[in-house]
Amino acid sequence: MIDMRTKFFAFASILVLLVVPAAPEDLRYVPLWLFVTYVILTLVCAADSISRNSK
Amino acid sequence: MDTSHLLVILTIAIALGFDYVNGFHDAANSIATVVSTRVLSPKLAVLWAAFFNFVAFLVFGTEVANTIAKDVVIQDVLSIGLIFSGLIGAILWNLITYYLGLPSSSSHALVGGMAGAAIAKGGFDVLVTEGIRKIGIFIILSPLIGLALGFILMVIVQWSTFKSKNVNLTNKIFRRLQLASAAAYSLGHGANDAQKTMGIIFALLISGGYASANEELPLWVVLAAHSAIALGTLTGGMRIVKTMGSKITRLQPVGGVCAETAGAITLFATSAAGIPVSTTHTITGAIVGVGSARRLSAVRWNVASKVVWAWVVTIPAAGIVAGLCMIVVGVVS
Repeated sequence: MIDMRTKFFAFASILVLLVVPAAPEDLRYVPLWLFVTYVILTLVCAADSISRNSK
Repeated sequence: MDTSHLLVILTIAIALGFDYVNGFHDAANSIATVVSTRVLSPKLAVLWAAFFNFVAFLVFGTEVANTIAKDVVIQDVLSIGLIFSGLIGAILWNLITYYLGLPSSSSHALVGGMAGAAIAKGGFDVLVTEGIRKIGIFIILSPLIGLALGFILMVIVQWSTFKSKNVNLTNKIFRRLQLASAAAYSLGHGANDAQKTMGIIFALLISGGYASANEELPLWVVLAAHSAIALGTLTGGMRIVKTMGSKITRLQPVGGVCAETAGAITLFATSAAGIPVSTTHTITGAIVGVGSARRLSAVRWNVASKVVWAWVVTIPAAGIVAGLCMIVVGVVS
């Protein structure tokens, strides 16, 4: 079962990804890096949630 | 003294008043945790925050002010009446949200007010698309940057202090660190928010023919804006009742340090890049990030969702109010 925090970070990563094409070109790296950060946070939180549930 | 001179002086006074109220309103954001953990007395805490609000001009340039003055509305359309209407629109919207208890952002109201007044005067073509796009994108990104940084910092701190046997020593260290994090946040708050007022005053001086767009921002504008926000912090901080810190999630010294540091890093970066962002929404994002590092239920989501709604509604609403003011100003003049 995926917890709320993982879903929240996944939602944030999708939101940031949607912003990428709209960002000015010289600042596009900011939402791109933020997207990568949120994807990592989503994966880490999912792994944490799965390991807690398996105990 | 002719009427346009008087109007300029009146509009500058209103802009500085807006800045003062901003400091008054946001003071609690930077000193709440320092006061609640008794690191500083309320009086010393507001002096601390006000001092760093004021000295921000020594650290940061005036890029945010230039963005507000030159990258929202095209220079040819700027007029004293337009800036006056934009300010009045922002102030009225702030009063409406204050009455309704919505945590709206003064910065969003200001940008929305300027844009709304400009649209009422000359249609959508008078907006600087690139500038508006940059501001709009970072309205969405800044709380999310604060949130991610707050979460990451909190996890790092939790990991590094997990095996600490001396809890008292850890607490003592973080109580002291709060002095630095609160100072950093106040510095970022002073830099980003005071510059918005500077930008408004600069736009006013350009439109009145008192300055040219290629000139440097006059020093008296910089000092007046920082003095107004610092004075607001000094008076507003004295009445700490409930703050963002306790409303959204319960913060301990460790969480306070992480949230303020995350907020400060976001504000430093955006100020250096000349991007006006909402300091309230940035620190709110950071507090949510810190709270969700413990568990997501530690965040009071009803309060956070109110912030998001105010976040969505403020720019168009302030724009409509300012647009109506602009129509009235047009009829009167």
